[in-house]
Amino acid sequence: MVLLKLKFPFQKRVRLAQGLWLLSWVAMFSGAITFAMGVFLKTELHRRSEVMHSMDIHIVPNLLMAVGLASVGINICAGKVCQDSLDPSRFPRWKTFLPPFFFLSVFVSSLLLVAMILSFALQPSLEESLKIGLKNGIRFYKDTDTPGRCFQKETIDRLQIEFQCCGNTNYRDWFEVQWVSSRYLDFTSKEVKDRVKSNIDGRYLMDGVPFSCCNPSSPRPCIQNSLLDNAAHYDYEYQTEELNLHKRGCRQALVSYYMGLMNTIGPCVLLFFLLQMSILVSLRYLQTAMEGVLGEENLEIETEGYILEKGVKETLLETKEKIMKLLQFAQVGDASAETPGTESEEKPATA
Amino acid sequence: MVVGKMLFTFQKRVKLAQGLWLLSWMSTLGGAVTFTLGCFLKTELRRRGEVMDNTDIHCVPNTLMIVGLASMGINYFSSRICQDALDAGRFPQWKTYLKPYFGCSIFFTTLMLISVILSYAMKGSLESSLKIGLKNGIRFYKDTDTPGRCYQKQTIDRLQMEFQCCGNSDYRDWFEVQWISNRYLDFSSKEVKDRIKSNVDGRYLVDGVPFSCCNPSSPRPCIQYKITNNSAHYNYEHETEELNLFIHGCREALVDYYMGLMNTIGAVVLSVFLIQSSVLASLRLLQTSMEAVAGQENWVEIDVQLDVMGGARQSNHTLTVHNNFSQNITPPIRSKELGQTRSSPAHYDDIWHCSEHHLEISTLLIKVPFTQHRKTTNGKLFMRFGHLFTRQQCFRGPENANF
Repeated sequence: MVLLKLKFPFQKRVRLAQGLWLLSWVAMFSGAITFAMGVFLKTELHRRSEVMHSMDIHIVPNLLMAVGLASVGINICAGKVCQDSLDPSRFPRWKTFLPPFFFLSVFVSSLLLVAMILSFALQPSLEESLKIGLKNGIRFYKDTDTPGRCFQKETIDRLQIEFQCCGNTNYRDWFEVQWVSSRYLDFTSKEVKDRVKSNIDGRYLMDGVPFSCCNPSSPRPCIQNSLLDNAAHYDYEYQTEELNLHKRGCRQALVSYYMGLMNTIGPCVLLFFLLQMSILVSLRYLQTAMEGVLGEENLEIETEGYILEKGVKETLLETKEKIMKLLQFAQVGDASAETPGTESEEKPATA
Repeated sequence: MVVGKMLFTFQKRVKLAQGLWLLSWMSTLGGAVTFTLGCFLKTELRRRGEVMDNTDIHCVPNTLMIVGLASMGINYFSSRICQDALDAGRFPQWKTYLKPYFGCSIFFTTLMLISVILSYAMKGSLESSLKIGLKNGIRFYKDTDTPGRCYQKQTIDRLQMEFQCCGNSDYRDWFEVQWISNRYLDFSSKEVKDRIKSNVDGRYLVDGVPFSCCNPSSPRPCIQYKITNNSAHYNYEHETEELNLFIHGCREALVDYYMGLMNTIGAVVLSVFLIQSSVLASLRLLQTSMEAVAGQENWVEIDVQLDVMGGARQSNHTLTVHNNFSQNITPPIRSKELGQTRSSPAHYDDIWHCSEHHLEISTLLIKVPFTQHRKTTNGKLFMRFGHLFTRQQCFRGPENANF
């Protein structure tokens, strides 16, 4: 039973070939655009890689780049096949090449869908990676004299200013770490000694945040120290008042940013996937329709096009048998090399 | 005395017209680029319009936009003119427009040059405008409750963070104004009362700066209050230490930024100016060389091969080739014997009639003298040159030409 059979008179074949040629050029550009989007996403992820703990999320832009490049190649081939398809002398040379080509193209196109699904599925992984990365960044904020960590302060400061966020979950994360380096603490003063003694690890903890948490839109000059002390500032109640710090946590800000990026890229990728699949289906129809013409005298006859010659199950069984035969042939080839004598004895018996 | 006289053969004129057509389209693109650069500069100036006192500097992008639009129009017309230039029938229609057109074009092209010069000349005006604007911005920083000024704080904060600058000339400008609003000052405390009494105007002055002056690259947590007080901070000497504030003043940062922009734009506009001037000069050359041709009614140039087929009779007619621009009868360079005509010379126009015979392109440049005595004729011969311009007209020879 043939799958999705269609009749193709000569004019329809010609139109199909021409339309497909044009469409393959459009798809080539879409492939290039997909590649560019992958590169863009990768650079954006790379820019903030210092506050990310793992690189799992990078699989999405990597897939996009690979698929973009592969689809450019696929569509160039498809265009060439279209060009040759209406010329019966040049078409046969594509015969052996086309079935593996179809498999490869379908595989590559399905990778697009996989990339899109991954971009949503990896969101928790991204959030986890950011959580750990930001936690480390805040912890090492004060280590501007330790090699390897000396730029953490600048990174976190610029991140908080650019994304208008403060801390990991919110500003209170800064209360739990010592973010003022011991180099700048006067250990002879009473205040410092009290604070250091007040916790087990001997850290100088304060209810203050760095300046980069300050919100420029606030009408009041920034209050960044003694945040929980109402008496320290005039006309200030931290419970009721809207603090002049950034409200969001940086983790949430970054996740929203990257999800926004991927939500924009997602529909484009989906459109491109549909375009690519339609090209492959049309190419299959063209191929099967042209196979009907080969060997005929009159090129302008009407032929039939189909997707699969037999039904889906039968085709799968056939391919399985073919693969088994190939494997067997390989095995038999080895076996016959070992025992040539027995075979030659059998042959005269059957002749 | 003629300025810039050049000799133009027919082929050279054709090449000039073709090259000019291409160049004028390039110049149209250049005009569009100038317009976009003007728009871009204007938006950038407007973004920081709140810290500028006057809008004098806006004349630079305005001029650029006007010049860009005008040059697109000029170059469109120049491409039309050179399309018509090689067609002696269509070229005269431009005759009356050419003088005002050239006047206009030269005006706008010099305006382009003026805009580049202006962008350097207005640096001083920009700087003084920024000086006053920033001074006001810093003064009104605290007035977040006064309508009309409530966004000054946000503007100045974002400006300082983005351009990495502090204050007008440097951070000390913040010491001279009260930038903390009275709403947030406890007038019952001793410290506040002391500070207010310490100066004539009763302002609360501090040796501190807003948080937006803090430099994220500094290794130390930001010291923004009590900057001049060494004992207030551990291990701190404000005279020797590199402060963790931004060093540059915002006026200097903004002037540098805008001058950088205008330098880039100036370079691009200058190259567009050069292209435009060459377009105008070439157009003028083309116009004058075509005008010299237009007066020569008797001498029409053609690029044609007379392939006399079918119907030609015997006659001893010759085609002679003369120089271009030749007003007098010069000895022919080359002559070709034609077949004979049907009968007496009175009917030699049979040979030439376009409907009866085929004419092909040839390498012979044939100038056909209609008579030895330069009698005028009716109409023109076949003219065909290049592939841009094609004009065909049929020739009818005089009744009894002594050919």
